[in-house]
Amino acid sequence: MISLNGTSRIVKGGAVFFALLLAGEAAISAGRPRFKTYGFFDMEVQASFDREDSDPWTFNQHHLNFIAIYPLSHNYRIFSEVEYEHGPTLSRNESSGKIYLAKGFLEYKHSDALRLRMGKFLSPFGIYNERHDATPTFIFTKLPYSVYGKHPLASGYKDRLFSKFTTGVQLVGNIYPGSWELRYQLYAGNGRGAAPGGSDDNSNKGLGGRLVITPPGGRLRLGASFYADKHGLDYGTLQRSLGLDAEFDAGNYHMEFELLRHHAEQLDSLNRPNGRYKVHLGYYLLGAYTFLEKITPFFRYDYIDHDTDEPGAAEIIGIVGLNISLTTRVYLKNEIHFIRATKSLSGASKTTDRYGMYVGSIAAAF
Amino acid sequence: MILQTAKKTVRTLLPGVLLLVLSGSMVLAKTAVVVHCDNPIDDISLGELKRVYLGKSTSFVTGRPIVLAENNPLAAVFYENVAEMSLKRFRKYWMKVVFEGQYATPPVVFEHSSDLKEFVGRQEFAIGFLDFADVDSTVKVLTIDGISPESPEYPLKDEAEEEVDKE
Repeated sequence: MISLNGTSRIVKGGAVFFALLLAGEAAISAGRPRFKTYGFFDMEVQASFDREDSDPWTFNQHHLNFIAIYPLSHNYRIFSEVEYEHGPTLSRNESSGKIYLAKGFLEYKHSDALRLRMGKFLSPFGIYNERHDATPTFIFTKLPYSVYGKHPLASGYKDRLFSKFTTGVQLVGNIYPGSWELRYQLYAGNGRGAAPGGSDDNSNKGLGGRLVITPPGGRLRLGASFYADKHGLDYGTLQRSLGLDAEFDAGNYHMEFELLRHHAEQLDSLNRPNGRYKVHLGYYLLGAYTFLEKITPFFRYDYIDHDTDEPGAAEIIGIVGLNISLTTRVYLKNEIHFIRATKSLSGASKTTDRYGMYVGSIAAAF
Repeated sequence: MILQTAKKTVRTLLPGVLLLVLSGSMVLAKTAVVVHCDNPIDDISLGELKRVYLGKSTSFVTGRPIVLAENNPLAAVFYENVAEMSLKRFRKYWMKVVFEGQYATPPVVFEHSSDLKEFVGRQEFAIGFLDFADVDSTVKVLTIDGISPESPEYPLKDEAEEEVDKE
């Protein structure tokens, strides 16, 4: 669903970005550490097949993100990222798309082992959430649905199984015991809240963390993430998510695996938390091989069970794709999704929907 | 007549040219890691150098912040030796570091050794790499795991020298 967040958000987002640009120019003239700007862009085309109710082709200028990093000193910096999503338009007659602050935080570095972030950040969960929309950095166009997708949490209500954004504080650091490498992140902030798509609920507090261990050699990375808050399906219902992940690189081979288990407390007939939990279980496996450092065919198997107590309520997505690196900054991606979704109808009956989807995109980093 | 003269010239010059190329590659084969002359560190381990160029260590052991410099003509061999990554993979890796919001800043890229040397000589927090033959008193050369670039045990060699060594 494409929506506009309002004029005030657009003005705020733009004002922050341009204020940083002006401040950066001042820093350069004063001889202090220079500010840096980066960004990324992507454009997608999507088509469904074997499905009657979908448009044949859809073009989508999905992301145009501007990042400005402003060092205040060697120990302090401000990081900002403004996202223009779905080719936003704002006029009296037409409004579409979204403009918002994806990241905006002040970071203090005590040492590499201890840094403190304060502000809004993408929650460190799993391999991809911190660079959720930076599509040039991953080989596929669509993030794995099982872990990063929006899932049916209640009737007519879909959302992610953890908070995509957090406004709060985060501790982050890298530690090197011998030849091992440990990276930790711990955060507390306004939780997601019970509203679909929410990320900044002052009545709620979310807690989360991530740990990545890299054994000697650096080819294998093992990660674990968690997130919990007290407003899952509704106010006062607990939810918690646990994620496990692994990445392995050997020459031109790349493999990765992620698993997510989400518990959401249910409501009784009077809409009060009843202490019972619905469990989502999702995982994916990905394998890729890169030829000539440019051409990367890959496959991915995505599985999500929306309720482990209800057999058969699962979705399976098989993906084959081809990522072509036109330059180190420009990527052309093609993938075909084969989807099988089983849904419960009234009583014990179920229906299975099978269809396919083509997704192509061009993504560039600058 | 012209052809014979040419052949004779090639025959005469070839050994000298080969010798020049081989001896040149022996000198050029060492990549020196350099810092500002006022930087108190004299040595860096290969593991720490890898962490530095991957943006995982953003301060020297003395606590000084690090500003990374890259000598583009030597970058491919240097990153292969130090980070075990091709230049393309190294660039992609840094794209991920930036977009994730990690603290590190990518290397400042220099197309000419003289520009990098001038930058490191001026910027007190800089670390860079140069052809050992290009090093002069404006920068300080670090030993790697206690080994100087003058030593045959020095770890930052390129393939050309390995071929020379085999001969």
